[in-house]
Amino acid sequence: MLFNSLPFLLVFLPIVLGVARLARGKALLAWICAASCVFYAFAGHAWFLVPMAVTTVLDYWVGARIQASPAGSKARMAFLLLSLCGNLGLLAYFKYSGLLVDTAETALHAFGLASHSSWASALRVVLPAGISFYTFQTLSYVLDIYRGHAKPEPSFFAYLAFVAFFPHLVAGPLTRHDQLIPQLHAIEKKGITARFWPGVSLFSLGLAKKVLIADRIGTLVDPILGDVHHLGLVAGWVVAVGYAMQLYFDFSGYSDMAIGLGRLFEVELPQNFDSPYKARDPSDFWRRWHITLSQWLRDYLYISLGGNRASPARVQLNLMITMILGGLWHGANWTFAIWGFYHGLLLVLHRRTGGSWAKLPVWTQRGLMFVLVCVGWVFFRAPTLGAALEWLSAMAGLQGIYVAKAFLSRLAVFVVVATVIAMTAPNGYEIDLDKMPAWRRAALGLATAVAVVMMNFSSKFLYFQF
Amino acid sequence: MSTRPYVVGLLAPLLAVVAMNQLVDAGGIGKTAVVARVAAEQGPSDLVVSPFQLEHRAWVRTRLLMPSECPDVMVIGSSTVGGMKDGFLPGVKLRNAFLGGPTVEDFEAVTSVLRASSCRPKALVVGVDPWWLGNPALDERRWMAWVDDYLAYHERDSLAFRVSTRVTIAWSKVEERLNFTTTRESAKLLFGSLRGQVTLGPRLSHDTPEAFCASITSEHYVRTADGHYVSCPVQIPKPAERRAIAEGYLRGNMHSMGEWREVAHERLDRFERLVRAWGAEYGRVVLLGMPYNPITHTALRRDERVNRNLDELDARLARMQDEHVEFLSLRDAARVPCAEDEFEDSHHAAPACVAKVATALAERTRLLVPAGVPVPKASAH
Repeated sequence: MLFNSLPFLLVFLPIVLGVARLARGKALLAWICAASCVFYAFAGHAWFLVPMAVTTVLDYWVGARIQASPAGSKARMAFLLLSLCGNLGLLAYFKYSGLLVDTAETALHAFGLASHSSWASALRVVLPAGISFYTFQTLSYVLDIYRGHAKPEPSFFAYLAFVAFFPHLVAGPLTRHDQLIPQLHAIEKKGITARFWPGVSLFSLGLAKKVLIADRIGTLVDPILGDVHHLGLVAGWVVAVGYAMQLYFDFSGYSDMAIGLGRLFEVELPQNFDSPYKARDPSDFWRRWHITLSQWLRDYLYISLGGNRASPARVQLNLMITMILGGLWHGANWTFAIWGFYHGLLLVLHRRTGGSWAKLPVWTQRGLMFVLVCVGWVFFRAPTLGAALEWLSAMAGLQGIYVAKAFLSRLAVFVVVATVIAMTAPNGYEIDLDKMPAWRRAALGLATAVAVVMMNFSSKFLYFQF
Repeated sequence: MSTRPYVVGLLAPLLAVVAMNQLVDAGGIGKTAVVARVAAEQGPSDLVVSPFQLEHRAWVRTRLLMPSECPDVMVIGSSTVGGMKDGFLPGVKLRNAFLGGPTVEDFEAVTSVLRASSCRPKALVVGVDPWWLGNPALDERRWMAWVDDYLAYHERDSLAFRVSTRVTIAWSKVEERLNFTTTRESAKLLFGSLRGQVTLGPRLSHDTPEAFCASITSEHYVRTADGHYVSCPVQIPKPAERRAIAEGYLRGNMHSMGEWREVAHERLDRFERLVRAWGAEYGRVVLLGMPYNPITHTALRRDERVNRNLDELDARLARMQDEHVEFLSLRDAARVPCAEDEFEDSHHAAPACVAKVATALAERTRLLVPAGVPVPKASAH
């Protein structure tokens, strides 16, 4: 089930919110857990609940066992390793086994050896939605207990609600236990007093961003990228910027919807985007793009590797490792690792030449940073490294200047509008929603209405080529 | 702080959209009574015409229940068999009961209607298109227009099934009233109607097909009394457009063929149960794979996954053959043979090609052999 679907908006949300408003105490948390499980079961397959249950129960139990073990004991380390192996093992199986199989098959093929398709097909499995998010969330819970930064949560319902809370379950924001569990206990005690307007307005804004901008651009970008061999300079750049806009408005729109939904349950989820295309340098970009993931990688990976407290060469290596693994977190394809490597390189170069960069005019910094980010998105979007290189060669003008493409001019118009919005307009956190004038509130309602109709795009009753 | 402007801004346009879609009913799902009346009044030389969607199910239902219309050979399937007309098969009365966007549920409803009538055709020709029969990515819901007949077929199923079907249909109609494509088409029709260019809803025309086609400037659905459709020149693409449509069929994900990941076995199981029942009730059943435009067929066969799925689907259809059932695959137009210019688009054969298909049916199957003479066990033709 998606937030931008009629079953969610007209059936699931009214029922879940209506009952939640009436419930109190453990019943409220139990209701949120049950509703979240139903939501998740409809996110793909009902069996998606199984790996989530394994992760949830394992880390709840491990957290308690770590706390019960003496400080510095081998048992604490053993329990931590159990959690790491369990969580990362599940993630590796579901998300990366296909990549490893494909890589192994390619290597075997290169050496003229036959592949073993029976075990290979067994390892190609459907990826449960949101597994990357909830795995990192429960890992941070265990790691914080291990480090002595947190205590185990005594209430299993509160812990389960933290993991499964449906607004952030499938696509984040990556929410820490210390951000969410105290709020869940607060609503458990006094019930939910919905923050209707802050929630609904942010949800509406997110819905409009996703459906009216991201999805529209997506329908124009995808056919053009279907033939990446003949793009030309103009189409190469229009599509690269178009994809940059599609991705931003899609992901940040979904995050806005999640945060808005959280507010309806009187829960404030963390901000995930802060106008990233206004970033002036690579560090600034990562403080604005997918903020909750950046913070997670910083706190649990970069710092664990030694962070800034090391030699310059070691710090640069830490940055590269963090960014490459962060890239792979986004998807099981070596192109994501290259994307992470590219951003790691930008961060390293910026650390070494930051002074000169900072002397450039602000708009020049922003413009250059945006161009660099768009180049990176090529690796993120392209299905293979070969396709990425072809796309980049087009952007470099090696495939000619202009190749006529269907929908290109329409895409260019969308891209210009979206870029102006992304680079100049305030984001959902910068708009004072409470002081919005009446006409803007009416306009937001209208945009939401249009989005509701457009998200339900293709008719199942009409036929054009009967 | 007042949220009233937001609520008004949200609900007013949504209510207007729902009201317009309800009023115009672009999909025709609420026009069954009008279609049934027109179908009942249609004389042998009359045409039923509709500026946009004609609810074929109501037409088919009405005609099947008319004793005078009971045929020797009945054609069912999608519009790919819609050009098959009376006279194409020598010496038999043919009626075409094709449907727009059919699914297995539709054929269950057809079966139920036939059982309710006194009509027992001697043979059925069933167009078996890969998309509605084998592609689970395609989700068509027009069968919901004759839910009573569908549920009559399922009369032995549980109450829970019947209730859930009704709930699903009600929900689908809600979604349809809030659908973008429907809203766009409703708006077009409404404005056309207000300008006097379009008459909403189906009607009877006493013109010949040629005269009617000469009188229109926009796309119309035209169905003759024997059930076949007429394509007016105004709606047939020009050769260059036709070629582009044929080439873009797979790339453009027509019929969700670009998303055809596996063969829909559950759907085929249901279809096979129907085929067995038809074989037992009518004696002769020919499952007919209608030809694709050669350009489209080549593109489909070049795609590894589609090619594999097509083979798997046709192998399954071939296994359905028994003493009552035959399968004739003409998906490759060279087997008819039909050339590229004998198609109206990617998958609709023009009348000349349909006539050749009818000839192939008569010559290569035992369709016209009286029931009771067993069909030899054979592989797919």
